Amino acid sequence: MAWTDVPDTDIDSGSPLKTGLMTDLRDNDIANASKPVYLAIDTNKTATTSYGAADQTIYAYCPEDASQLVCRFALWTASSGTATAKVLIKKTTGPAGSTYQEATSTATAKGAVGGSADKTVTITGLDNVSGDDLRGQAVTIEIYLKHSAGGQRVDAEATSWEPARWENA
Amino acid sequence: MSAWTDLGDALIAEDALPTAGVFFALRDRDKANATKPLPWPHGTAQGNTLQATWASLATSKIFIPADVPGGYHLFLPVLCNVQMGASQTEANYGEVRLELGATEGEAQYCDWDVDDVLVLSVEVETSLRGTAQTLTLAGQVPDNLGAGVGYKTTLYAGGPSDAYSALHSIRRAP
Repeated sequence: MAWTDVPDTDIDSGSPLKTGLMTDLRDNDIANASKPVYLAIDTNKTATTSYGAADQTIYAYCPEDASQLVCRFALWTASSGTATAKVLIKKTTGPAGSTYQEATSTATAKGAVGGSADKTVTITGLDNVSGDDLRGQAVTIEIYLKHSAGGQRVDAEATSWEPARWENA
Repeated sequence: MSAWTDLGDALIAEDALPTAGVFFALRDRDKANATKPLPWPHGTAQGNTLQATWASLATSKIFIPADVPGGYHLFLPVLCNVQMGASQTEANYGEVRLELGATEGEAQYCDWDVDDVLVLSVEVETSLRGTAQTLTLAGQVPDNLGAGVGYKTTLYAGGPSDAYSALHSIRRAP
């Protein structure tokens, strides 16, 4: 959503506030609600065709105004086939459930930012994850890896990528 | 902590003046929006031989954003471990806390010979807005009364690992 400029001249001296001004304020607030967060995604393994236990666990704080998490990282496999990574998020304490998004890649090297290994996942609905409102909570983010052929190395790494971010979409 | 309020167009009737409720909602959203994640590289754990007085384990400089609302706290995850002296038979425990400028955070208990990950916090006084401050990680070992060699207890504390760095933030106190 584009940020809306609210000039002083929109508020005439002695005049009541208008609906449009309030809408602008709201839009500004939403546009301002993108928060970078360093999620140190850096894991690899010889993956099977299905997910096992979490390959990496990261702890974070979900801002009160975040409705989604945008997570960017490189995903590649050392051989042919398709590598898949699952990014899962849940409340750290007493989670009722979890939600996740997956990314797939056939890249055979990390390559550069913007290359074929460059993946972005967006996890929405953080206000209701099986009844849990993750906003304002400590959360656990788990990374899972698998490979279409099995027995192949899969890498996921965000070391030199732009940070993930919390967003109010 | 109050829940984040969704502010829909329906709260503002067409051609009507905004109601007080809308202003409350905007103010609350503004506070919610003031949460600041502070990605924090983890450092090597710092050890210090301590007794029953607070002493610094590590310090760093931090910039306090100019728009931090009142009542917000700085949260920092740390990993702590207390190691007692070679001649000691009674396990010691430690306490750690954050100090931001002259403000002392609440102390948390740290076990003997166990890696404890604690999320420490300290209030960000509004007078600190827009200034650079010294953030101190301090510790003490309250029952370490024997000061002689062999009775010295060392408390180690530092950033736990990259996995916890995204917990570091300035946010509304729970």
